[in-house]
Order: sequence, then structure tokens, then C-alpha cells
Amino acid sequence: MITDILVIIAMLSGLLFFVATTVGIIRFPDFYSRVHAAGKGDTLSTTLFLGGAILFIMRDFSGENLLTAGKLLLIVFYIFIASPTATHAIIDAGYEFRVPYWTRSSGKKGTEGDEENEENMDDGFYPDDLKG
Amino acid sequence: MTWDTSLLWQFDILILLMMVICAVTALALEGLLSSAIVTGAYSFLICLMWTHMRAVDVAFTEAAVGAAISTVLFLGTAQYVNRWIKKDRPREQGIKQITLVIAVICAVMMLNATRDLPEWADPASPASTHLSPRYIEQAYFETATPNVVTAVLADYRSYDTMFEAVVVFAAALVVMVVLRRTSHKHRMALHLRPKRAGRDTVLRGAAQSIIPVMQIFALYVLFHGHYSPGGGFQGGVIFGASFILLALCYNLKFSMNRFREHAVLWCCAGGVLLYAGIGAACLAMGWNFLGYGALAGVLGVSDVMARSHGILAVEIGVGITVMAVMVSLYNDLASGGDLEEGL
Amino acid sequence: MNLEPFFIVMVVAILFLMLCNLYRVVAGPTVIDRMLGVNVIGIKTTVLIVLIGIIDGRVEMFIDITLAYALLNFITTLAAARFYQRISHPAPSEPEESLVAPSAGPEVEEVDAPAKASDSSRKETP
Repeated sequence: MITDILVIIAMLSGLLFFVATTVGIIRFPDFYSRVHAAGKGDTLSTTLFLGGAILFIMRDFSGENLLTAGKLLLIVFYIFIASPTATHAIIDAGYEFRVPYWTRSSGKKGTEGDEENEENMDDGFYPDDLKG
Repeated sequence: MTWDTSLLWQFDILILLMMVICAVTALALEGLLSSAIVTGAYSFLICLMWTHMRAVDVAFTEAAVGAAISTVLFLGTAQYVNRWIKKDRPREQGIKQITLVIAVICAVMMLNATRDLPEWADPASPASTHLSPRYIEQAYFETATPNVVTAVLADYRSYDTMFEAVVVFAAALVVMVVLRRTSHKHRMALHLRPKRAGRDTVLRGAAQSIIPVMQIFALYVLFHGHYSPGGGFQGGVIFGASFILLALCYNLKFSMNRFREHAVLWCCAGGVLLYAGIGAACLAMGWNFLGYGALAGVLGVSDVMARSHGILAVEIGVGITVMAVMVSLYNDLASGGDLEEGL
Repeated sequence: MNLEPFFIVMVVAILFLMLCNLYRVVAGPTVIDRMLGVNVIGIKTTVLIVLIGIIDGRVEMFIDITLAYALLNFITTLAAARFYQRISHPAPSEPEESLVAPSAGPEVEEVDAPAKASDSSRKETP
């Protein structure tokens, strides 16, 4: 019973972080902040979900379930390594490719910004190789 | 409240919706690279669909190939080709319109034909009445292999699997014949780009911690194919992906020092040769080609166990070929053929 | 307590979130944004497969697929990152063949090491 409640709590909080990730990925204005949302939120929520799954599986204890739970722990561990590494690599690539970053003036499309910051996010903002 | 868990229609509808979105997007985008990446999303969705249909072996293959290999090969190729679709060519527009008409006609005919298809998981459908019951009932007692898919793949229909391995081998061979060139004479334009010597510590640390596990897991998938989803193809793809990861995190030279081109080619041919050799050995002992029962005398086990061992040996052959072919395809495509510098 | 309805609701909710993430894949202004969306969808796929396995009561059948995804999922992202790092650097005017002699022996890594140490003083860690 307590285990079930723990499972529900873990998975609901995982879902919460998934929702946060999704909102971040959709709403954030530039590439770097989107990567930030995806990298942090997804790693944590995957950990929470798989932790809930481990708890659920270990409700009835047996050797086979122990093996499955061990594999799930391995999955958690390697997602914990792989997902931030992917985030690091992709943000490194974006930085070296000089993907433009968002500033307040560029986001407001030149209403208050300086002359050189007036180019907005729509045209000519991204390098040609990245578009499409 | 009862939940019919065998058919979650919400699940099906959502996944189908996303698949349609992905397919249309992949067609509509101008950049070939974006299309390739959207196809990667499609691969995840189709894997989910197959998981939902409990076609676990197929889902496993899709997971291994879609997550690791296909997009990487696309990206490796994209360095050397024109990555943009040119528009506004009247002649091609005409051809495209003709193609559209043909595609629409075919789609209408296929949609019409779906009415004749049996219900999903219908036990009275033709597919479930002729051969499947025999496989499901007899496979374990005839081959001592609990996973029916492995038994069907590597025993009952091992001709199919052998020629699939040959096709994979031929793919690597063709790519090599077309692209491979000596490194000094013909230098392509992109090779003037700076050499990269794996300067990123984070990536190297991740590679050092993940690659050994990946290789052990690949061997587990290969040898555990009798009891769980997996087998030679999936294990081979994962093992090949470990070398691709090595090449991505360090550089191509580094991974090619670990697994040299000669060794790759020997493995490519050796796996197919192992497969065909087992078949020929069975033939030489008076059984059918690939009739693994012939190996009973050599191995000193019963006929049934001999078939199980024969399946294992054949899977190892497939695994070796697929692993080497994946590495070879990556090496040739990502370096443009001269094996100097990959992605 | 029967948790099956809860898991089904979770599965459908995650699928809805995947649908939302697909917006970034479809509309993302750059290729790296699409890549990011695909990566997120892949992670959600990992969770979904485990949940489907739990609903089926056969997690051990599905766990290997999830493990494969956990190990392989970032290769594509890594390749995309490498691709853009490669095409972002302008080509030097001279090919550096004279600096790095192609050697046939197994010590190519060590032969490369002096040339590497010239631009970055980082040492090779075994």
C-alpha cells in the first residue's frame, strides 16, 4: 500500500517534470534555453519514472523481479550518463556554430533595442546551414 | 470499471496521428538533413507501435537500427552531398505531379483493400490458422528454443535469414566498391577541414563508461536470443554501434586502430561464411542444407539440442556479419571513402 | 491496490506530451532544434516501453529494448553535434598532410599526439 503510494508520487512528479520540459521546449525563445530545459527535466523525470517502476516491480520479491529491477537500475544509470552527455555535445555544437542567442532586445523585435540588435528571430537570424 | 488493456485505442490513435505528422513533415521539409532527423522521430513512434502490438523482436530491431545507425549514416553522408532540395524546376514539377497522382491512386486501392484484412489479433484469420499454430505448438519441442521468433527465423526459415545476411554483406560491399579510395590521390574538398583528435573530455568519459557495457550487452542480446527478444541482428547492430560511438567520441583513426579495415572485411565475409558453412556441413552429412539435426553426431547431443546449437551458431554468424557491416558502412560513408576522418 | 488504470493514464499523458514535443520537431527553426525534439521523444519512448511492459505484466520482455535505447539513444545526437562542429570550422587553406604523417603501424594515436599537443596541451588519458 505504501509502496503503491510511493509509486504514484514518483510517477506523478515525473510527469510534472515532463510537462515542465515540454513547456520549456515549446515556449523558450532560443536554442540554448530549450536545451537547458530538455537536458535537466528529462533526465530527472526519467529517473523518477523508472524509480517508480522499480518500486512497483519489487512489490512482490523474486529472483526474476530482482533481475528486472537491476536492469532498470542500469537503465537509470546510463540515462543519467548519456542524456547530459548528449546535451553537452549538442550545446557545444550550437556554440561553435554560433547559433544566435536570445536577448531581450532581439526578442522584442527592435522596439526598444539598439540598432545592431534589431534583427529579429525570423529572417536572417539563423545561419543558412541550420535552417530547413 | 474495466480497462481493455489489449487494445488501447487512445494509444493507437495518438501514435498514428504523430506518425502521420512526422511523415508529412519529412516530405514537406526542404533540407534533407531535417527530413532524416524527422525520420528518426518516426522510428521511435513505429517502435512504440510494435511494442504495443507485442512484436517485441521487431521493436528491438527498430530500436537498435533507428536509434543508433540510420540517422548517423544519413549525417555521415550529408557532409558530401547537396543537402537541399532545389525547387522551381518545371520538368521535375511535372514528374512530381505524376508521382502524386500515382501515389493517390495506390493509396485509394490500398485503403479499399484494408476492408478485406482480418481483425487485429483474429485467431481465425488465415495467418493464424495455417503455419503459426504448428510453430507455436511444436517449436519448443523440435528446437528447444523458447523464443518462437528465433526458432522460426534461424531454423524453419533459415534460408531467408541466410540471404538477408548476404544482402547486408552485399550492401557493405557495394558501398565499399563505390566509395573506397586511396587516401593520398583523390582528396575531396571537405578533407581540408581541420583534424579533430577527440578533444572533448566529457564525451571521452561517457564513451569510456558506456562502450564496455554496450559491448557486453550486445553479446548478451546475441546469446540470450533463445530466451528473450533479440538475436544476431540486434546484437550485431549494438556491437557495431559501439565502434561508431568510439569513432564519434574520439576520431575515426582511433576506432580504426581498434578494429582495422582488414579485420572488418574478414568479419563481413566470415559471418556469412560461417552461416553457409554450417549449412554445407549439414549437407555433407546427408541432411538437408541447414538441417541442424546433422550436427547431433558431431556435438554429441540429441537432435533437438543440435537444432538449438545450430540456431546459436547461425545467429553468431549473422551477428558477426552485421557488426562488421555497420562499422564498414560508417567508415566508408562518414569519411567519404578515404578513411581519413569521420564525423 | 490496482494500479493499472493509473499506468494507462500515465501512458496516454506521456503520449500527449510527445505530441506537444513534436511541435518542436516539426516547426523548430533549426536542425539542432529538431534534433533536440527527437532526443526528448526518444527519452519518452524509453519510459513508455517500460510502462507498456508493466501494464502487460511482462516487463522482462520489454526491458532489453529499453536498455538498448538507454545505451544507443544519444549516438544520433552526438553525430549531429559532431556534424555541425565539423562544418562550422572554416577549412584551412593548406592540407595538414605534411604535419601528420600517415603511419601504418598501430601507434597512429601516438604519432598524432605531438600534433595534437601543439594546439591543445591536453594529454591522452588511458
